[in-house]
Amino acid sequence: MKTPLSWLRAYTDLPETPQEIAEKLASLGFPVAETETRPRISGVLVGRIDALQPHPNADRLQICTIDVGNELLLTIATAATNVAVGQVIPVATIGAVLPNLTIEPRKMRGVDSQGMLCSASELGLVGEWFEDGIMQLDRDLPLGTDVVAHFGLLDPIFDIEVTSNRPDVLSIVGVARELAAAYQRPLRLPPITPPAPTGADEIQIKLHSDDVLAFVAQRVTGLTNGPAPSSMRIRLALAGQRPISTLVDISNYVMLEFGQPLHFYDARAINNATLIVRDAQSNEQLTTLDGLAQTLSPELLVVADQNGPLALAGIRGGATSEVQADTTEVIIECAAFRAARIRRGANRLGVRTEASSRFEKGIPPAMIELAAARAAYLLSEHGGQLHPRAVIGHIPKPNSVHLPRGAADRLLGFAISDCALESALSRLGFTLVADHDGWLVTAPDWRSDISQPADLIEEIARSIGYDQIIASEFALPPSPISSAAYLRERALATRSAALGFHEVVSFSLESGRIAERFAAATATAAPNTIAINNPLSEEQHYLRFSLLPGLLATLRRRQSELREGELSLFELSHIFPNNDPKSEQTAAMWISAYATTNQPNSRPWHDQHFLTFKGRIEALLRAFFPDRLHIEPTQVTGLHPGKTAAILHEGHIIAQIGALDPRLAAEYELDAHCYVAQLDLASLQERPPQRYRTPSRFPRITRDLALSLPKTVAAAQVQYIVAQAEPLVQTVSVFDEYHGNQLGPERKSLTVRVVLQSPDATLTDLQADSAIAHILSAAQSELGAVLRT
Amino acid sequence: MTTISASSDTQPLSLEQQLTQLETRFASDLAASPSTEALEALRVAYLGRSGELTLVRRAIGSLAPAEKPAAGKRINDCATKLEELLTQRLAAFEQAALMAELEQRIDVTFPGASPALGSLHPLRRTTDAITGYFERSGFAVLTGPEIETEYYNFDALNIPPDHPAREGFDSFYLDGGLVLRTHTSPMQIRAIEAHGTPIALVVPGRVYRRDSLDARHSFMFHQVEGLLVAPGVHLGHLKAALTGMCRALFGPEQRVRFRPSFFPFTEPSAEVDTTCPGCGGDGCSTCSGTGWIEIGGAGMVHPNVLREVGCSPEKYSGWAFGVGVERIAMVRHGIDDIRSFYENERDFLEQLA
Ligand SMILES: [Zn+2]
Repeated sequence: MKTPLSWLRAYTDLPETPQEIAEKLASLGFPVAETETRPRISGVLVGRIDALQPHPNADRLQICTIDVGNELLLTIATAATNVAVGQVIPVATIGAVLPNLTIEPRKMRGVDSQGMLCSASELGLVGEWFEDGIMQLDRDLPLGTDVVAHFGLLDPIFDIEVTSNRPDVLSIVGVARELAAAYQRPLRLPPITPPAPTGADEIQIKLHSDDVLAFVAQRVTGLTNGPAPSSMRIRLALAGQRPISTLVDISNYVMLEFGQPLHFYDARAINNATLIVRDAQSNEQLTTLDGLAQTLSPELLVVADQNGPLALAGIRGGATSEVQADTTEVIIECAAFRAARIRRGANRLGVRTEASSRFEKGIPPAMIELAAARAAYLLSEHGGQLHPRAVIGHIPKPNSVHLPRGAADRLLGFAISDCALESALSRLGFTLVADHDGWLVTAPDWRSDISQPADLIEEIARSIGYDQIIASEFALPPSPISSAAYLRERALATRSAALGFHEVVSFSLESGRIAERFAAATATAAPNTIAINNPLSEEQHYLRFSLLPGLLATLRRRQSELREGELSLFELSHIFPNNDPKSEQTAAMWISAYATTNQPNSRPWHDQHFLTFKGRIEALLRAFFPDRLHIEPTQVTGLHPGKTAAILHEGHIIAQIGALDPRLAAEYELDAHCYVAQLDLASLQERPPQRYRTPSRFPRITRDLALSLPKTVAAAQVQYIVAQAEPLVQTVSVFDEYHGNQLGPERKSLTVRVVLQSPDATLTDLQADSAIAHILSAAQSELGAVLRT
Repeated sequence: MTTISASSDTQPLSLEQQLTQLETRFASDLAASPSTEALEALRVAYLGRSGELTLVRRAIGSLAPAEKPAAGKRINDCATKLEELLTQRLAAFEQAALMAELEQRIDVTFPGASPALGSLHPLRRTTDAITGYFERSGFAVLTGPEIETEYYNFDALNIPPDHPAREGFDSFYLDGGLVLRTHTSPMQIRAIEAHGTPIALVVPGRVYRRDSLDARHSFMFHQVEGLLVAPGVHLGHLKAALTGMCRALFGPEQRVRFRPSFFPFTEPSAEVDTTCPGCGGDGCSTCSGTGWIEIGGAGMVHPNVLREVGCSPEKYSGWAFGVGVERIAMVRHGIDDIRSFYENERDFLEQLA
C-alpha cells in the first residue's frame, strides 16, 4: 500500500528519518517493500495573482503581479493560459529548486521575471492528474506559506506490504495506529463527528441477502462538485489515487484513511429513495464505472433500486448512478459484506478493485459507522446538508478470548510479567479483564483476526518485539522415523556424480508437443499425460511423463561440447508416467552421449560405448545390489530395439539400459551416440547386512577356453552355464567376441576365462583338467558349444 | 669364457691352480658384466647346475679319501667368495639404478589426466546442507507427492475455501480436486497422520506456483519444510534450530532474526532473516543495505492445524518452517538469476560442483 509519510505524520509523532520508521514497520510485520523518494524541491511559496497584463513584446506571455505575503510584489512572466487575477498558486521564487531547474532572475522578452508559477508536475506530482497549466491552491491558504513543507512534498512514500489478515492496516490511520502503539505516542484521529442531521429524507434499505452484515445509507444535499481542496488532492495523488472531484475524492480519501470502502450515488439516479441489496438475477445488465457492460449472474451481489442494479456491491459502482460534475445530492453507502461473497464475485468477474481487495479480507463491521460518519463530516464541511442516517443489520460485538496466565510464556519461551503483558496488549487497543487464571481479552473494533489465545500471543510478541525471543535448544531424541528412502536417493546421486555423471534439474511441466514428438518418432501411441487446468502457457501445460525428453533437450543444447568426447548427465526426480495421478513416482535416469567422430565400432554385433556405459551403470548399482544381477535383452520405447537390456534382481526388472532409439536422436537433432539407463527407485530397498565369505587360501588356476557357439547364445547364458557346471568355478568372464567366415554364418566365437579354486586343497592338474571337461561337456549339451583348437 | 677340462693332454692342473684360474677368470667376467641380467648369467655359468665350479666339485670324487675334506672345504670357500662378489656387484648395480632414478626430473606442473568427474546439482548440495544439519539434530527426512489434494495443500492447513490466502498461493489445478502442491507444508499433515506425535522431520521437495518465469521468479522451485511437534516446544526452539541451520549454510557467525508475519497454518508467524553473508550485516547490494536477507517463513503450528490431525493444542505445541532452496543457494553462491538452476549449462553445474 502506498503510504505518504507526510500523511502518517498528521496522525502521530514519528522520528525524523524515514529509514528508522521503515525498520520499525518491518519489526511490526509491515515491511516497506519500496521507499519512493521525492524530488528535491525548495523555495516554492503560496502566492496570489494580484494583477495580470499582457506582455508588451510577446503575445503568448502575460505579466503577473504576485503577492507572496511580504511587502514586495513579484513580477513574473508566464506562458500559462489558465491564470486569472485572484488565483492562489504555487510560486517558485528566486533561488527555488525544482525537479529539473533552479530559478534565477531573468529577462523574458525584455521584462524582468522574478520567479515562476508552478504546475503540478513541477512539484513532482503526476501532471495529468491535475489541471493543465498552473496548479490551483485553496484561496484561504496564507500567502507566503512554504508549499513544500505545508503539503509534505519532500517526505518519501512507503510501499508497505500488509498481510491478508490485517485489512485494518490497509489504511493510513491503521498504519499510524500501529506506529503510535510501537512508539507509545498518542494517535490523533481526524474529526469523525458530523453535525446533527438537519434534513429529513431518510433512505430506505432492504436487505435480501445474508451476505450483508450491516448497511449504512445517508442522503446529503446542497452540495457543489468541483476540484477538492488542495491538501486532499495532493494527499490522494501522493498515495497513488488520482484526484477526480470533491465528491469522488472524499469517498476515496475516507477509504484510504480508514480502510473501509464507501460508495456515493448521485441521488438523482436512485428511484424512490430505496436501496435494495440482493443477489443479481441471471443475465441482468449493468454498466460499471469503468465503462464495461457486465452481464450479471446470481453469485454477484448488487445494490439496486426498483428499476434494477445500481452497483456491484463491494466491487464497483454503476455508471448510471455515478457522481457527476453537476451532482448536488449524494447517497452515502457504507456496508459490511461477508468477505467470501465479495471474493467470489470479484473472481467471477476477474477483477480486483481497491474496494473488493479490502472487503475480501474481512473488514470488521464496526468500521462502517466510523467511516460513514467521517464521510458525512467531510461532506458537511464541504457545505452539504445531512439527512438522517439509516442503519440496518447487526454489528456484532468484538471477540473476547480468554488468555490463560502462562500461555504466552509457554509458546514464546520467555517470561512475561502480568504487567508487561497487559501493557503490550492495551497499547494495541485490546481491553483486558483479569480473572482467577488469566484475562478475558476483547479485541478493538478494527480487528477481525483475533479468535483464540494463539492470536493474542502473537500480538503480545509483536508488541514486546520479536527480537526478545531467545534461541534455546530443544533436546530431541533420535528420530524413530526412518530417513532411509531419502538417504538412498542421496547416495545414488552421490555415486552417480562419482562415476562421472552431472546432475541436472529440468522443469516438470512441459508442452504437449513433447509427448507427441516422442510418440511420432518412436512410432508408438502418445503417452497419456496429466494436464494442468490453468496453465500459464502452452509450454507448461502437462506434467512430464519421463525424464528422457528433458535430458535430450539439455544434450541438444550442449552438444557442441561433444567435440571434447563425452557428455554424461543424470536426473533424479518425480515423473508422472500416465494420466493417473497415482502414477507419480521418483525416477532416475542417466544418459551418456559420445561424439559420432568417436565411432564405437564398425562391427554391427559390437558396441564398445554400450559396454562402457553399461559398466558404469553396473558399478553404480553394485552399491545397492551387492548380489549378482541378471541381465537379458528387452525392448523399451525410446531405446534401440536391438541394443537394450533389462537388469533384473530376484526376478524383478529394476533397471533398463540401452542405446537411444536413433529415430529419437534424429528428432532431437543429436549428432551423437547416446546411451540411456533408467532405474526404478522403489527397487532400492533396505537390505539385511551382507554375509562375509572367507576366501580360500589355496592357489587359483586360470584357464581360457575359446568356444565356437551359435550366434543366438548370449554371453550371460555362457557365464551362467559355465558357473553352474562345476563347483570349483570361482569366476567366469567372457571376452573376445568374434564373428567370421571360418566359423560359418550361424556361429560366433567367445573366449571364456574360468578361474578354478578349491576351498580346502591345492588343485592338481588332473583335478583342473577334469573340471574343464565338465564345463565343456555342459557347454556343449546346453549351448552347442565346441572348443576351438 | 673357456671351459676347463679335467682330461687335458697337457699336465693336469692342480685343484689349487684350477681354482685360482677360475677365480681370476670370474673376477674379469664380473668386471665386464654390465647389468643385473649379466650377473645372473654369470652366476649360472660358474655356480649353476652345470657351472664351472660344480664341474670342479664333481672331480673331487677321483681324489684320495684323505685329500677329499680339504679339497671340499677349498671349493666351498671359493663358492662363498664368488657368491659374495656377485652379491656386492648386484648391490652396486641396484644402488646405481636408484641413484639414476633419483636423477630423473619431470615437469610436475604438466596438466594431470583426470578421470571424468561428475557433479551434484547446486540445488541438491544446498538441500543436503539443510537436511544434513537437521539429520544431525535428530530429525527424520521424508519426501512427499507433488500432486496433492486440496485438502492436504489447503484445508488441513487452516486455509479453507474462500480464505484470502488460498488465492495468494496462485496454484496450478488438476482434475479431481487436485493441485500441484504450492508448498511442502502438506507433509506436516501426512507425516503426523502416518507417524503420530511427537514428531521431528524435514521435507525437501519441488513446489509450484503460478508465477511467470523471470530472473527472480519461477513456476517451479524447491523448498525444505521443517516440523517439530512435542510437549513444551516454543518459539525460542525455532530460533535455535534456524540459527543452527543458517550457521551450517553460511558460517559460524550467522544470526537469525524474526519479523512478524502471517501464514494461516502458524500462529505466531514470522518471516525469517539471517545475517547477509555478502557483507556480514553491514549492508550491501545483496541485502539492499539492510544487512539481512530473508530466507523463508516460520512460526508455531496453528492450533487449528494441530486439532485437524487429532493433536491437542493444550498438550502439544510445535514449530514449522519453510525455506526456499533456490533463494538460499542464490545467496550462498552469488547467483543472480533463478533460471540458471534449470538451464543446466556446463559452467553453472561444474563451477559449483
Ligand atoms: Zn549485505
